[in-house]
Amino acid sequence: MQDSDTVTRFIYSKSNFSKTKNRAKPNAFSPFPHDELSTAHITALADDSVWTLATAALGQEAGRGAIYARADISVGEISKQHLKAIRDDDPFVRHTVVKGWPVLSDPAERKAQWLEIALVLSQQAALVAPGSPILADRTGR
Amino acid sequence: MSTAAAIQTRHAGLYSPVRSTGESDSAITLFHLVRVAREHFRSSIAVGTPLEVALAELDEAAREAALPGWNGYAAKPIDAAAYASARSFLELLPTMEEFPEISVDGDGEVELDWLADPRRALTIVVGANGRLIYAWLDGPRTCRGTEWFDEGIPSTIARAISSITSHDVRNRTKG
Repeated sequence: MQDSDTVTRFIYSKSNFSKTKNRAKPNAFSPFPHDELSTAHITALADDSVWTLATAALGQEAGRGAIYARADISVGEISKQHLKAIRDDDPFVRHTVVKGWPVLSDPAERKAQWLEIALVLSQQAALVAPGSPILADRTGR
Repeated sequence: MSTAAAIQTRHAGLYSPVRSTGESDSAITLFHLVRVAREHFRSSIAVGTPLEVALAELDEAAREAALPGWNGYAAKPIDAAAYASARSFLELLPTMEEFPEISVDGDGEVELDWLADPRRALTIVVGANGRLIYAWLDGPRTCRGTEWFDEGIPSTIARAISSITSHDVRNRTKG
């Protein structure tokens, strides 16, 4: 992916972004408990198309009943943090993983480094909220 | 040691316990006067409300993070010990400081965010037993670390909060 590409982090929790500051919070960009961050590649997509793509991320899994916002960020900003965005189209087309989070044996130091990275990314990202939450169709249709 | 120094309130909030090691009549008198003054302030609606709002926000975040996977990315549910530590930490914050926005992270620990502007922000993750992991963004610079709190807020953390919130106030009061 190019530095000029854009990926987005879908936010399924109301408390993971600040309405008053109109920005994502650091925990929106934290990969915990995984070691890679799940995003979607949205370069060249119109806003409506991004929200249509968002419905592909919704499902019957825990916590994925609604999308309250998304946080768009350039791959260039991700690269500045020595991370790598790799589009893998799994589990949905345009799915992209952000890898390369520091591996450290000390859990506290690892958490501190990941927190620092997540803080920078969250403050560089552009928060976009839909008019109303994007809901999963619980009937399975 | 002076009488006043014997009464320890440094880096402590309105709700943290006041301790006194003084034994003189003046020390005992001053201790009681400090307690009365603190009770007076705590009963003030203007001073008490920010903490009450913060604790309510903590409870709301805890409710949202009660189940595994609550954030859609397999997050752990909120850790009870982290919740208790966060509650204690909030009660230690000086009442004249701006309170943080409160949420839970993927590890089940409590995240406190002061987001002054995109180039100045502080985030603290409160874990069990008073562990504080923090990251601080100040223009082009960032820093991170781990501290522990017991009866008072560590000076590093206190300085970071003060720096971020004073800048936020300056920005909000500009015309």
